Amino acid sequence: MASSTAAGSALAISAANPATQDAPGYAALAFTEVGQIDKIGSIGGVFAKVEFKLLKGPIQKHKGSVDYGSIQPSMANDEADAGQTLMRTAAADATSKLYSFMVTYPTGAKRYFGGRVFGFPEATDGADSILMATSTIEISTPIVKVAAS
Amino acid sequence: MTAPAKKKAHVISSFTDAGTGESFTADATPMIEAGVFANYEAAGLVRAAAAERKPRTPAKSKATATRRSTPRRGSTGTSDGARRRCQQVGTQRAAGARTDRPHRITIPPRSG
Repeated sequence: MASSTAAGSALAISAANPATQDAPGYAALAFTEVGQIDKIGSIGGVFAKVEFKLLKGPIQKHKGSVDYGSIQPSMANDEADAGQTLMRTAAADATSKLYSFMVTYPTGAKRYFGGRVFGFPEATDGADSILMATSTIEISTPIVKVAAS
Repeated sequence: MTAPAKKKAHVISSFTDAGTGESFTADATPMIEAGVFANYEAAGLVRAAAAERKPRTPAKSKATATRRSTPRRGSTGTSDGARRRCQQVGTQRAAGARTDRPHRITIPPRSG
C-alpha cells in the first residue's frame, strides 16, 4: 500500500481487556475514541541488545528482552470528551489495571495494545495557545497489527 | 449476527463521544450498548439507571383480631354470647373472668 499522511488517525481506549491477545480478541471490545488529539507518537517494540565480545572475531549481538515502549499523545484539553475522561481515570488509577488501546490509521489499518496511563498533565502556555494535555501510555503487551481491509 | 445488548444508563454529567458524535445530557436515561456503557461507567460519566418501580397498589385491608386488654366498662368480663359459646363447647367460665385470657376449663365446686 502507498504511504500516507497521519491526518485522520485516531486513538481509542477501552476499560476492558481482550479474551485473547489477537485481532479477534481486540475487535470484540468496545472502544471510546479520545477526542481533540493532535499527536499520537511512535508504536513498536525494541529489543534490548546483548553483546558478546569474542577474543577472535567480531562482536556478537543478540536480542534480549523486548520493550514495547510508550507513546505520549497530546490533545486539546476537553473535560466533556468521554475518551479524555476515561484517560484521566486511567491516569488516576493507582492499581496495575491494564487498559486496551486502538490506533486507527487513515488507511484503515489498526494497531491494538494493552497499556497503563502513567500521567495526564495539563499544560497552560501563552495567551495565544490552547490548553493542552499530554498523556503517557506505557505499552505492556505485544502490538497486534491489523491490515487495512 | 445479533445486535449487541444495550443497558439503560443514567447520565451523571454531560459529555460527548468523539468517535460516534453522540452527546449525552446530565440526568438523561439513554439506552447504551453494553461495552460502551462499561467505558462510560469506568470514566464516571454514567451509572446503571434504577429499575422502574411498578405503581404501588393499595393493600387490601385485612380484618385483624385485636385483644381487649381491659374489660368493657360495666361488664363482668363475659358476655352472654361468650358464655353461650363456652357452654356450647362444654367449658365453663368463672363469673367476672377476663375475656382476653386463654380459655381454661374450670369446674366450680358443687354447692350443698
